[in-house]
Amino acid sequence: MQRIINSLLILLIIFNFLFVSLGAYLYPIASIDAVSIWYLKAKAFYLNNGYIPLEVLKNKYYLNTHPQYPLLLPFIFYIFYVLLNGINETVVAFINPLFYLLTIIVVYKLLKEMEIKTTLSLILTYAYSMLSPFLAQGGRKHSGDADIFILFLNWLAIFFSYKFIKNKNYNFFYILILIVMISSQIKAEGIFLAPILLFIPVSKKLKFFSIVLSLIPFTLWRVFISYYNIPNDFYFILPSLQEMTIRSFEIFYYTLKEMLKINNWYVFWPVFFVIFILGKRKNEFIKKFIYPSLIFYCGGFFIFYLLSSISPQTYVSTSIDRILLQLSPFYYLIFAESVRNISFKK
Amino acid sequence: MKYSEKILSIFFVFLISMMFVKSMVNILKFVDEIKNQPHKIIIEVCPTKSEEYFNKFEDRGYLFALYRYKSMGEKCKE
Repeated sequence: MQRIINSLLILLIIFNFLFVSLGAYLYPIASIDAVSIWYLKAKAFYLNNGYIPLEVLKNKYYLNTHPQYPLLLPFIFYIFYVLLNGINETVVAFINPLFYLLTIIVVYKLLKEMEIKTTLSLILTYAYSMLSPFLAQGGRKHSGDADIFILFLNWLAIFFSYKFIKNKNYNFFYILILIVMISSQIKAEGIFLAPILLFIPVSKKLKFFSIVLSLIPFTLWRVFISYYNIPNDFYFILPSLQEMTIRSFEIFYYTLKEMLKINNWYVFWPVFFVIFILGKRKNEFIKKFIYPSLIFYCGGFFIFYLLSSISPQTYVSTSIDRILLQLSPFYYLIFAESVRNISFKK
Repeated sequence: MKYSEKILSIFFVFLISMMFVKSMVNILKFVDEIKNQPHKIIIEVCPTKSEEYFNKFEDRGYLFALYRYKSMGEKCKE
């Protein structure tokens, strides 16, 4: 019986991969961010023979392409254009389904590493693969968006953190530093992954060294922005205390509103909070690594929203689904661990 | 199993059931899309002035409009 259930779950997961792939095939350029930020900059790289397209980054007509976003992803897309001998978004759109699949594999591998039984690992992996924002980023109308790459790197970072804590193999630790470096060059918020290094059990000296090292690409990119006066379409402000209170309320309100969207999350969030309150957590990795990392990550986003020149009403309501997705590797492990401890002890 | 654990199990099974139903809906959608190829986006650049704009990646609004225009599968503007 268990074999049949496992096979059914694997089939459903494979179907999800086919489903997002078909989405990437039928709707390869349906996302405005993909068209106007990532593909556009990749095209600019291509037309500029691989050199940084400063004329685009400094041009005020392109302000809403987020000129200050790091350029790693457009550069990778550009390499594909070179390999394909021309600009071809229909092919590049399949990178998202590929990362959807890779993410699912990492999720399953990590759950197995955490000694969760095969069937439960498959159920949890299937449930994760069904989250609508993940399906969307996987290719259902959001091909070419960058969030799935951040998501993949977050899962990979947790995977290697777990491996390092378990085996004390320092190669995993160095891979982790590299992941943080790459993440900071996908999108600005990728830097929020850096605080996880604080919670890796290594000497203070190595911790300090790793954080400094991981921040180098981010710092270099900021220096580049400053040196070339790259403009931005939004900036940071210091609101009054009263304004901060209102903004905080709005951030929580729109986050909660998103969590209650059945179309996106089914009843995941109510179930999560019930399990979170009533469930038991015994795993030291969750307690000492996942919890503090999640708090720091959430704190980063909270401050980002709080001090942004764009009002939370506009910003949070239009972006919180993908932010929750980026945070999912942390809270989903808490969920998985709690589920393991309650219903499927044997 | 404690009472609270029973409740949690029911919640979890309910969540998975919802996802399973959605999977079935997605399978039907998938079959329909394979059959009808509803919004196949054609991104070949029109052989008109728009190509020039397209290649010079003119402003975001225009570019997006061009993509959307083509996504509807309509013919190129003269």
